[in-house]
Amino acid sequence: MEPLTPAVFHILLALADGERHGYAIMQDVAAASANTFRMGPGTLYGTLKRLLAADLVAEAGEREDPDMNDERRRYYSITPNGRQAVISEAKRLESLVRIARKKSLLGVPAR
Amino acid sequence: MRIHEWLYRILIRLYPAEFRREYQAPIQQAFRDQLRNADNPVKLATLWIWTLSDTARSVATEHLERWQSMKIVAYLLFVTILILLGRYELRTDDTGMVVFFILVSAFILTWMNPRRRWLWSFVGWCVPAAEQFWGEPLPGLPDLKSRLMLLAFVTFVGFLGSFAAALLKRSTTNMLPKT
Repeated sequence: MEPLTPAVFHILLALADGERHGYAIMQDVAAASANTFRMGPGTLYGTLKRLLAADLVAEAGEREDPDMNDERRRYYSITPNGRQAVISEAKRLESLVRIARKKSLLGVPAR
Repeated sequence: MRIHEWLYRILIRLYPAEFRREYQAPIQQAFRDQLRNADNPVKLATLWIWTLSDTARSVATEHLERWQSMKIVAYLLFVTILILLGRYELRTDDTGMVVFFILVSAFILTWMNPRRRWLWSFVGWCVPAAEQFWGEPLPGLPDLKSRLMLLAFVTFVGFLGSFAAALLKRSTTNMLPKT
């Protein structure tokens, strides 16, 4: 499987905890990356469109968010394929971090 | 706030119509949510800088994707016409079948292994090679120039097949924007 782009990885990570609407995904991504990776609405919905087409994400209906105003919002959920993709990518990144640690690139001296 | 929403609505018109039909409402809604949180002039200015940059990138991505899918359709149409008309003569009675074989082989090989797509464009070379083995030894191509032209032609057909596969694979499997 090819590596996921940062936008896709962040969206799938945000949806791994449960269904989210677009703005909640954007907030999750900003929080998870400590504001180092931010997505605007255009990038978010463009990426969601491709994820829907690839069956990594599914629409989960429209409803109001009780924590926000009373507008109806379109919710998205991760599919089994999407979960598999985000797990594979996390493992790939983990193995890269392990290599970086061995080379003392992350401040941990090599044994 | 209304003026900001109005300006953003104008910006959204830059997206392809199909994309707008599906996502204009949720995109505007997300922008409204962002506006609500931009409660001072600095935050508002930051939001606009960020929004302009995001819109420029995502508009380009959406148009590029649309253009790529149109290119594949144009390519398939071109190949179909070529095969149907049988305009290219490959020194065989089944010209269309040979061209089709080269295209499909290069397409499948590239689909399976995109990294070697340049190599797969040479797949058509097996046609003259096979004819050397099993058929008449290139009776219609007596001189070196004609043989080289044949090889150039089959390479070109193989390249078209591998190019289509690489393009299609990129727009489906690796469907992710460079953002």
